[in-house]
Amino acid sequence: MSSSSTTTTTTRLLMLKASDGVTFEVEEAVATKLGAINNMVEEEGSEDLICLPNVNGKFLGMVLEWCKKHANNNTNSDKGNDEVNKWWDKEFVMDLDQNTLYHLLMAADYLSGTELVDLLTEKVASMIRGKKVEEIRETFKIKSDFLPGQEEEIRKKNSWAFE
Amino acid sequence: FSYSKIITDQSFGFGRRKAKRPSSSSSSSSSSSSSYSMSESGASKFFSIVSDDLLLEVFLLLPHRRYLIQCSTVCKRWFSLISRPEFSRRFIEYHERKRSSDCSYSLPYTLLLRASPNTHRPPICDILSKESKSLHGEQSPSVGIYSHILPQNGIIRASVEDLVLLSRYPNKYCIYNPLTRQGLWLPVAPRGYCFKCGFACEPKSSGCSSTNISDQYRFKVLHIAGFSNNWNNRNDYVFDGELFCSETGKWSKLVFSFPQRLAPNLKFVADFVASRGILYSLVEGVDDNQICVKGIVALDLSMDDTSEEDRNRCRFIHLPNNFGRGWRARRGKVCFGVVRGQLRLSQLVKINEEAVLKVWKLDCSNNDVEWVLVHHARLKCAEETSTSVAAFHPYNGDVVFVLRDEEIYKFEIGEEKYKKVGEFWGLGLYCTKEKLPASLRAFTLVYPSWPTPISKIP
Repeated sequence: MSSSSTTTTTTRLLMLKASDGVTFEVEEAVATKLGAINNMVEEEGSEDLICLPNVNGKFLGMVLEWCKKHANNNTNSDKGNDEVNKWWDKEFVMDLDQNTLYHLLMAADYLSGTELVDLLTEKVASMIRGKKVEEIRETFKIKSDFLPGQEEEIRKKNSWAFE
Repeated sequence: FSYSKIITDQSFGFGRRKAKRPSSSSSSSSSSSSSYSMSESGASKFFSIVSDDLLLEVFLLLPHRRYLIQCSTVCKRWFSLISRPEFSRRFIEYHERKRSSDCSYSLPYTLLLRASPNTHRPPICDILSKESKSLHGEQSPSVGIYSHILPQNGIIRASVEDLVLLSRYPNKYCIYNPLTRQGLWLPVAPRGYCFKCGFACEPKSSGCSSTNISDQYRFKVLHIAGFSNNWNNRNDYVFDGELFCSETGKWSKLVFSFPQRLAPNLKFVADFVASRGILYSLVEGVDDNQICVKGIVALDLSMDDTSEEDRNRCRFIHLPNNFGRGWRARRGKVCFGVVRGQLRLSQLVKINEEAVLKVWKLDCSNNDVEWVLVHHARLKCAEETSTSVAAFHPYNGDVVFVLRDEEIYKFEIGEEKYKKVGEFWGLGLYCTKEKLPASLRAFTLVYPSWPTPISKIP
């Protein structure tokens, strides 16, 4: 493929409308990183306005930012590109506060952004790893709903995992 | 790039167009509703509305079953999700695939070094990788973990993955998982005492994949009571063995032999080591009036017929061509082990001030086995210390564990980098410093994401 760094090939633009009315104009190649949008484009191939009533503008913007980065980095098929993507992904999830992380994950899942879902689930998994059960509950604000004795029973069956 | 101009809806008159939303089929096929609104919510809200599929996706990425079990006690929903049998299978498959496809994928490991073969509770030096320490939990001691965890009544004889084979005089064997502490004593071996033994564990072929996870591995234990009394053929060593197979739950006779001339005055250096269904053992013999390592006996366990002597079952593998002979091939200078399922052999010889380390791997890809030299390195070493290779790293072929006096160092070949990782305590009672290199036995444990279960005997 010839270099496309400055080419102005007629890239199609899509309009994406978030739940709060914020609209994004996005190159097709970027938006179709999202499975859900790709499906719609393939189905109808129109230049319709795509309404996304389940995603708030703030998070849709972040999802698209991620897509843009990955769409750009994928065009030049460098070997070091993988590294760049990885580094960028790391930066991307590093400073996410929990609330944003969850919203983003829900948005990415809803839009079928598989790679982004993988990245964000990994982030959630890293928050579980190495924590005691009490700390997990504390981190994720989950209340135990076991009946008295039930939890102990599970622990007893696999005592090695709790030592 | 001219994207992401944020424009408010009012400035564009797209209202007339048919607006669409992603079809539900393209979003994840979760069991709970995919619509959500989390305007004011936080963590608790997220975990109450997140779909089962997404949550399972998170659990899938946990590195070990230990974390799954812990998570299953967080709340009822997590418990029921993690307890799904199809999730367990997916978890195992996911991590297996990751392990086989990603060569930089590292698993926690433990290296167990036993000083003397003859005592019941010999000094053990254990070296745990950082990850394996966390698997064993905070409360376990940082040293001596295995003397802590192994049952008091067994001697460690062999290891495969995360399992060990323990023996108890005279002829009892136990397959044991030191992490989960699941153990299984085998029926008593029919004859003799545990002279030499071997242990193989392999997944059953996928064709007969059982639905039960605890039933997916096949174990084989070799028990050799000694040389056979059958000296009809005076040119061969004949061994009377018994082979236990977990599928039948029984011991059956296994006889093997090889020509005496290959290793006169034969002696097994240690118990057998398993690699891909074949057991290997280093043997010594007399060469130019010196006792030294002569070669490797390989025993193929995959052959069905265990009823009678089979010449093809046993194979004698000669040492590599460029392997130093005579005193250079003495026991303490040679190390033998498995790296990523492939057999390795090393020789470390000190001449004048300089030590030369050679490492070969056994290439079995052809019909004929072949040694390939993978390392030929010079080591600087202090004059007064003796250095020998104690063990191989379980999956990094460029790292060996080196014994210097009573201390163990992790050594990166070619980098000349040593790092002390362990030492023997209380050696004096059992073994001298000088005898240690030759009497050292190494056992490596590698912890897969799902601890290997031990099936019941039928």
